[in-house]
Amino acid sequence: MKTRKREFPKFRYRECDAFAEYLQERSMKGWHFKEWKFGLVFEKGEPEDIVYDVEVLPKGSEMSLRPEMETEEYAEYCKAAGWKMIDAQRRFCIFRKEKLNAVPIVTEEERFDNVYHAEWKSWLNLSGATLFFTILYCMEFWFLTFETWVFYNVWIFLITMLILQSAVSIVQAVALMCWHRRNLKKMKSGESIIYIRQNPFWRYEREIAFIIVLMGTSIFSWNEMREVIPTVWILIGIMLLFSAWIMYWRPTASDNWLAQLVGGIVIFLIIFAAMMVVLFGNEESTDNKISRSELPFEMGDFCEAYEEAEIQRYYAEHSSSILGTVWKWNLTYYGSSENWMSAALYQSDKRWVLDRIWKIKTKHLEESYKNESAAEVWGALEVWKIEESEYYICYPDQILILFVPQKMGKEEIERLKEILDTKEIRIISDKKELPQESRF
Amino acid sequence: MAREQFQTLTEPMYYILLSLMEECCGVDIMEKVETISAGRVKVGPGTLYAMLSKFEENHIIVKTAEIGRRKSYVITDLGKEMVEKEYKRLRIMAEDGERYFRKKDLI
Repeated sequence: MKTRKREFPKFRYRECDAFAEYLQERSMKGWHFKEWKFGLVFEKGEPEDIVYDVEVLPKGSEMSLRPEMETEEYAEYCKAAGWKMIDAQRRFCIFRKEKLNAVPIVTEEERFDNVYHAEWKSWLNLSGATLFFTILYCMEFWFLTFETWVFYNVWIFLITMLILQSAVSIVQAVALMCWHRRNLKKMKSGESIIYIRQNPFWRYEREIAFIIVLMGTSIFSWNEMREVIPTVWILIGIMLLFSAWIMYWRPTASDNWLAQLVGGIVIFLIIFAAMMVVLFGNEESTDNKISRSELPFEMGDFCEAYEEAEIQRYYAEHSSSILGTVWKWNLTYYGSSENWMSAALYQSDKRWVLDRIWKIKTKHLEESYKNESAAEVWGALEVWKIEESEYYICYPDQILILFVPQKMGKEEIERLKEILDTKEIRIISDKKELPQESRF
Repeated sequence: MAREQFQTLTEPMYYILLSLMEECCGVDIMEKVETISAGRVKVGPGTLYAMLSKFEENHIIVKTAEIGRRKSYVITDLGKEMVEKEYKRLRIMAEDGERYFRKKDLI
């Protein structure tokens, strides 16, 4: 016959009376609350109608998983008044009534203030970091690393989820303020407030979001970063185990901070080591490398002098997301060390994506490089040209940045323009069959 | 935290300070308040705990002993001043009222 059982209900500070009722129901069935230890632990005994009071402490910390010294002192006072403390965690403190006529531990107004204050601290604890990182990453994404993220579905997914989570946090903050206003009015008009169960809609929001992020990231990374996925899952597993251990160990606030700091550093080191292995141990990784036959074009496609030229080595990268496609490649030809070509081709049907990339790419160029007549020759919206061998070309649906080893003549430009004009490159991006007249 | 919140004392505040006119252990104050007020005023342990810490921060009371978790306090001169002021205020209010009620022959 089981003498102990463990349950994992989720109560917020503003549901403290519902929490007390929950404990009372179990006592009536013979299960008495013993302690928190990774969930709520109940011990079997005689059914008893015990009156519980779940107090929300005015002082305390979300990181404090066991009764601190102040809480023990607080409990002394409550004991003298007829309330015996059973256990405390974070800002919750659970008492059972020992004396029949025990005075309520705090007044209604004080209780209301305590709950409201605790709710804000809890919100800050959960959402503070989310909001901070959302703003940080959004700014980084927009101003610094835009072109690195926008062509990878996994990053778009993560940023979207981060923004969504922040939106949810803000809604929750607004809901808290409405709850406060509503109940303040009630209290002022003399009504008593009972801290009952709220709408269950938000209760497991974080857990659900976490699972969605994990699954989504794995799915989207499948094409682009497959070898990383098992490592990420293992890391998440380690972090979850760590959290479970913390809940079992129940450190004080200061111990908890220390443990989290040490844990954070260890995990950071593991990630760092794993990245080193991936970057330097696995240069053969071909996740987003493309073969020579998939390159949008080579020098020989538009420049006669290079039709028979041999390629010494090449590097090429390609990525595609819902917001667009990018190719980046450079080819080194035999001959002098200057005999290389480098290109980046961005395609998108979203004008704002191309505008952003264009702005980033031309930001450091001198105004004088902008060339109206070149724009006409290329049939483009805008062309920036440096020394006849560096071109920044902006079309309505694509951007080409081209570095060539020698000056490009009108004929060559025409031929390249044709290649860009045709739908050939679009077909490659859909990874359908290569065009019949492929010269590759 | 300035003295504004102590300009007029609430009933629990008043009685707690009266109990601390003599050195008293924190835990015993609840009983003492009930006794002094003849059962009329009851202070909850949470209310008392919060108030004692506020009083101590503002030098209205001072800790005199600490044996384990049991702390004893006594009122300071500043505190005595405040209680006396409140007592006088209440007495004037009562006297004014008395005059009015006597005048109207309602007593």
